[in-house]
Amino acid sequence: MSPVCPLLLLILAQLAVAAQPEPVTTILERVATAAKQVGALRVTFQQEKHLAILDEPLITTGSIEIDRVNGLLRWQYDRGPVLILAAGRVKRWGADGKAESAGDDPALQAMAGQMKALTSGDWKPLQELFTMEVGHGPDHLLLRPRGVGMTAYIEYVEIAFRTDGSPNTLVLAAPGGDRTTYTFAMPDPAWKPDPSRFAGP
Amino acid sequence: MVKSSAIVAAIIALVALAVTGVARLDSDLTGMIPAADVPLAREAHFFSGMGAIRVLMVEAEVTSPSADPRTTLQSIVTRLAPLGAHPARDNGIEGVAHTMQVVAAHLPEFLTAEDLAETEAGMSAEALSQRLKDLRERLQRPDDWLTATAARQDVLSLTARVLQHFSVGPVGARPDGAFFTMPDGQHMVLRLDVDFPPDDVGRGQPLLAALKQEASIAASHGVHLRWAGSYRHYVENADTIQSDLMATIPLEVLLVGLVIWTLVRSWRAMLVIHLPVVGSVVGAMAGACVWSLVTGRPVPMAMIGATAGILGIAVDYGTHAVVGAQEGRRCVKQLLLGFLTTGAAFICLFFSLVPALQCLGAMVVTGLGTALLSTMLVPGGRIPPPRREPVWNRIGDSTNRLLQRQRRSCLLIAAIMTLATLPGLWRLHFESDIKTFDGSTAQAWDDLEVIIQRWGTPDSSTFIVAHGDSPDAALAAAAATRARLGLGPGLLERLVPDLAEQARRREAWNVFWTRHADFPAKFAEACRSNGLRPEAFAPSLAAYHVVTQSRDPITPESWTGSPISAALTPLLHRDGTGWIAASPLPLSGQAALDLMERLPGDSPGWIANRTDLGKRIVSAVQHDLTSLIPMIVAAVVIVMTLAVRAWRPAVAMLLPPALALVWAFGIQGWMGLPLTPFSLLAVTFVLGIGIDSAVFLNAGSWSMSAILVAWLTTLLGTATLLLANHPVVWSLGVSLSIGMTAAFVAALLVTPALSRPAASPAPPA
Repeated sequence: MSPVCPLLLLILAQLAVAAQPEPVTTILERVATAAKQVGALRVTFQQEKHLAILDEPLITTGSIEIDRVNGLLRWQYDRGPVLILAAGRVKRWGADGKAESAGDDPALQAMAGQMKALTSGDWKPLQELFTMEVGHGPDHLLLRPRGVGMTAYIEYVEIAFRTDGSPNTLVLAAPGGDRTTYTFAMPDPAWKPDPSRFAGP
Repeated sequence: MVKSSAIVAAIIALVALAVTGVARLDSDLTGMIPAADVPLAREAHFFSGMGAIRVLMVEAEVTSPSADPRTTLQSIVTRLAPLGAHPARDNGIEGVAHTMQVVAAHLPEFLTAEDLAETEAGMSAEALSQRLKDLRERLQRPDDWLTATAARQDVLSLTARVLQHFSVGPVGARPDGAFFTMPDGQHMVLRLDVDFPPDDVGRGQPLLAALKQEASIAASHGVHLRWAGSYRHYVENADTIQSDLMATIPLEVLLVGLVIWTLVRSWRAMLVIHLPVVGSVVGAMAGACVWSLVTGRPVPMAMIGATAGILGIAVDYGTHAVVGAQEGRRCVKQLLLGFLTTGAAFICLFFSLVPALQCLGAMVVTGLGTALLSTMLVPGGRIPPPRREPVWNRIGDSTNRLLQRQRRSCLLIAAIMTLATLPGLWRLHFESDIKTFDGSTAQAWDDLEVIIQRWGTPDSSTFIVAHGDSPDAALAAAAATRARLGLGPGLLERLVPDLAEQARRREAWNVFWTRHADFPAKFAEACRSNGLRPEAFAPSLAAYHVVTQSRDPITPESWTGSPISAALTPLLHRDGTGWIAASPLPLSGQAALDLMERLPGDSPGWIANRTDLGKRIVSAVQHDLTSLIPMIVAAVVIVMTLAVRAWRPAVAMLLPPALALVWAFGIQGWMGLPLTPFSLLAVTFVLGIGIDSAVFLNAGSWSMSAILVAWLTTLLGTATLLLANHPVVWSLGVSLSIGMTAAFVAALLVTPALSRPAASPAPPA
């Protein structure tokens, strides 16, 4: 056998390994490690809802402020409602600044898991509800509901991370063509959290 | 030597049986039910199959304006989860979604005629247009992620209409995640489902201890915690009994040991006295095992308490045997007579209709029989007499002289005591409040009352129960019983309507959609007028149409995999060859009892109530014991008469325990102490020990010191129970102390006065 053949086989093998998608655990660990480097951040986003029952998309902008040290998150829509995650619970204030009960809203509590993951940088707890696989890109995490119940309302959630571990886009797809896409700007790591921002509007 | 070997071999065989008996212990309530009481046995069997209520309610009350009760309860959820307690409503989004899917798949079968009538109000063109306008407005909320998807699948929200009937929670309270909040905002409650049964005290104790710690922390944050549930009562009862035992046993052992030591003054003798004690425990458990094997029933756990009484008599056997051995006498005849009379009394319990009492009879007979056999192992010549004459001999001699001199006076005193205590018998009454048998703290009952008043009972303790050859037959019978009582469908009937009801609902559904055949056209128009795409609602329109009667019905299996399944299983379960449907009623206390009274006799189902069951069991046991008393008295009289074959000594030995009964119950009557099954059982032991004293007193003055010590040790043992905090242990202590003293005093006053002076038994050859 020519000495070139083993070399060729070795190169082919390495190429094959390199072509394999990054395992989910690697993505999760990298995101968690990157999150630990940043104690607080602010990021703006654009939300685009394409609903099967509407002709036009619904586009909104907003910002997310995260205090990782204290496990706090503020999710604010521009000229819209404010959601605050504190002590594991989500509280909601309407556009008029009036507090609303979010305790029994299953849709909101479904998002609470993703908000917690955003806050901590630890996406592993979502594995209780979702299976996880690598999505349409090497840094894409694809979540599909584990239970038959949720499949009626969520088809998949796909998150694309940047190399620094911050989310770039998040897509929430429902059966029948409903799709909500979040596009996140680069986070501002120099932002300093103000405790009053997590107490209410 | 051969005889001793045979006795040792017999005791070893009994040990094996005793071990088997311990393995057959069971806390099942059915062991306390009289066999002839079919309705009571049926009810006990039902609750036994349902299992214990595994619920713990925790209420947080705001005591400071800045307090946050939700944070407190959230902290409790986190703290108690590793200890086996989880929020009952914590089914998560998947649980809710799965339940919605099951309902959506069976809308024609779930929706009642009333539901359809309410839906009809929203079917006009205007109403549809308004509904879609509201939907469109809702969609403008940027944080609404699921409404559009849900609306496409069921735009008329028929699934939600069904689900509103499934929500269970306190009346007037608002669900808030795992919690419920009162409109006043000052009270929240957390309902916890616990992984283990309440009688698993080993796991319950750390759970309750953690709650107590959380209560201290919460108090410092302006939140007052209350909690209620069977777990608290089991743990507090166990704690009370444990602390009672810790407080009484060391004192009892010390005092009894000291008294016996003053009599025998020898470590060897002290040890030998305990041979019958060990034998009695082994024999009692062996007897329980044999009874269990013969009847095929488990050994009732509660009967283990009876070993304390057996131990008391066995110590007396040991004392008499050892003192006799020290003096070079054998007292087998007296011990045998004592055993025969006590045994005759307890053999009568074999005729009891209550399995637990039959078991008690077997335990006492074999326990005391083994204790008697064990006394034969006492080595006659090997226990040296005490070097110094025991003080008890001098006391015994003085007492003997006094009793012999004052025979008439003794009988007169006995007569006066009888006359004085007799009226007390008419003041006796049976305890009807089973709460008085509970050793929980007053705080536990106060908290339970507050929680029940504010939030309702922790879980249903009242059910309409119906039997059937199939799940559907049982369900139909339960539904028919509810109808007889004028009650609408309950949770069970809503979760799994019987097949006939499902057929009726399908028919109503078809009539409804036939009447609204123009719905798709009207709906499309309403969509267009609101700028919505009608074709996107295809899943809704596919569901809203006439169905065939042959489609799959709702069955218990329809709920498999959903959180409803776990709640449904105890409500509809297999029992032997048939099925039981248990339809919960949100009633407790008197309201439940009133409903039981209203139930027509020809109803296909019946009503089961936990509180009522407890009361009826206590009443049945009391009634059974009371009815056996004449038989017990007759048996003791016959055995004694046959054994001594002379009326005078027979009367001398039988009259004291009879008088002791009158005195003991009379004194209890004067003291206002109610009768309980425990005090009735105590009486049987009083009879046993009282007869022993009378038998030995009848034998002559030689055994007076042993009689005195036997009585004193027993009295000390029972009197220490007066230090107990648990009401049952304390009342046993009172009954036994009064009874033992009455039996001893009666024997002293009556037996020597009636019996002729007997010669001391001859020392053995």
